[in-house]
Amino acid sequence: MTASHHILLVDDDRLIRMVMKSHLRQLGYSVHEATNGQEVLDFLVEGKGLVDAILMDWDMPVMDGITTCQHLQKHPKWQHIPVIMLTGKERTQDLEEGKARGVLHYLVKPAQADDLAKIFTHLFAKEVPYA
Amino acid sequence: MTTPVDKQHLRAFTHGDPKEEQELITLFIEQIRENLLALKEHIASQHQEKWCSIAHRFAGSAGTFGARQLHVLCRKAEHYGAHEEAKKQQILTLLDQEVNQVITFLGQS
Repeated sequence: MTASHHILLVDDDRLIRMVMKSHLRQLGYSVHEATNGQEVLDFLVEGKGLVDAILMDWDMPVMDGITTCQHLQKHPKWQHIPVIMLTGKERTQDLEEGKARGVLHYLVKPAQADDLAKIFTHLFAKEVPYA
Repeated sequence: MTTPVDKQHLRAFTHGDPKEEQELITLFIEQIRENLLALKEHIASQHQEKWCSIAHRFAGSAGTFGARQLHVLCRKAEHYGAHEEAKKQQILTLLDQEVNQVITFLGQS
């Protein structure tokens, strides 16, 4: 049941957060929000809520998505949290760099509602235990 | 005939919730006006990096909202950072026209 899954949505653009949040909530997921990578780390350190997956933008002020992934990878409790990266980048070199730093999937902007739903349905169907 | 905004794209995200859709429309109109103004303010060559960053962000929200032609123009603008001001002015004129079309369309629909 999707209602038991918690997604941390990270984007500095309020409109993009609102659009994604609307969809994810309608799909039954619980959604927390952050506006940059530093807020993600703060959220996790302070234990503000459960996080089963992170949907995160690549380009953000303060701390970008890739740097955030690097921090998550170093932490034994957070390194298994799946990260779905939203990005306008399409260069193979960029995408491979992200994969090497812990990105599980990419959604190239503009993301389609169906693709977003499929990724999380598939991800949570695997029943991988997360921190 | 294509419309300035693909409302089916947006509805797929809101699941047809009219209240959420209206909130998004209000925010989007506010944002595209701000982004256009910010690009105009950063047309000078010394603001190259800022210009690209604004255009990148503008493209992201336009595409996510379903404003397809605006998204294409913003992507183009993003690559105009190193161009001379006259070239940037050309793309700004096109963006200005498209923003007006999007706002008119959203006001009518």
